[in-house]
Amino acid sequence: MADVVLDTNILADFLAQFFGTARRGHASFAKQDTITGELARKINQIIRWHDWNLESGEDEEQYPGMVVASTFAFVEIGRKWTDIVKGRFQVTQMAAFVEQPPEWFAIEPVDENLVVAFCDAPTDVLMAHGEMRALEWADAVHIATAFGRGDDSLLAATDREMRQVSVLQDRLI
Amino acid sequence: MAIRTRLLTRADIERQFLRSGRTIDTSETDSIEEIGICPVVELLELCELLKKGKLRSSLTSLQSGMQALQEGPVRRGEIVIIALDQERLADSLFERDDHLVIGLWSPAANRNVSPTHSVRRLVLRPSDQTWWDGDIYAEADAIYGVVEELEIDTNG
Repeated sequence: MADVVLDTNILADFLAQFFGTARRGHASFAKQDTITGELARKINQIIRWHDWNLESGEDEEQYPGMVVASTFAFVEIGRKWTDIVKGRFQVTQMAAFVEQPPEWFAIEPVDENLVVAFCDAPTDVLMAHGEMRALEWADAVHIATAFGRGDDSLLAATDREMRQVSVLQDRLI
Repeated sequence: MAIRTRLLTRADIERQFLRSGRTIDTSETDSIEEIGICPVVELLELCELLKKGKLRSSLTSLQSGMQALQEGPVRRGEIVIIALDQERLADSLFERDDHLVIGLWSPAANRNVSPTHSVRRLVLRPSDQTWWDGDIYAEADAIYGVVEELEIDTNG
């Protein structure tokens, strides 16, 4: 299994499709905004696996993991609502999602386990042109969330600094 | 006997989580007179300061402290870390009128509040589910809120 953790911007674009063209997971996710073709395929694979197993009770395909976001990502969407959401979904829709996400989506807590993983997230990142840049606190929370979901979990991130973190190079999607 | 609750200060948190050679005093009874409330964000901020070398202690001391907490370094229940889990997020991030969501809760869902203070406000927001003293929210806001919002204003 390889869970895929979404950062704040990608979570917002995910929710926009979820409440829009993806019809709450009953239609496919597609490459759009920050959702790459590879990420859309991964999300669709996860949904398909859960739907199939819900209907048939059989698990013929290997478990593909879950789509994951930190509670903190939802807080960040709330803080930057107008800029991030851009009218694509309603507060009531996000509240309903938080209260009862689909069975293939996990909302990870910010708790003491995350603190332990947060200790392992770097504070600075070496950029491609050799400059050291600070990693934002918020980005470190997403990285720690991915660390907490196991060694094979993937991270879907938009931030340039996050995408340069060396320990994540094999885990970015 | 009623159990008191108290917001742990940053000094308390450093003392509890960074002290070396902490041992469990097995002679202590299980009675608890006071529970220290520690919003999870204080530990993340402490970790960030240690990683940036802004405190004398090392990151290893916090990692040891976290491990000791999970193993019961103090009398059971003496410190409670208040996490932001799915249930608390659902309770706190939204403004409701008779259970119906009518918007975002502006004290936390607000760009003029730092991310750390948003999380602090969300975990401490008084509700039917909170079991600690309601003054703790106001106390945390008085200690951290104004300073952080000023920092944001200053930085533009």
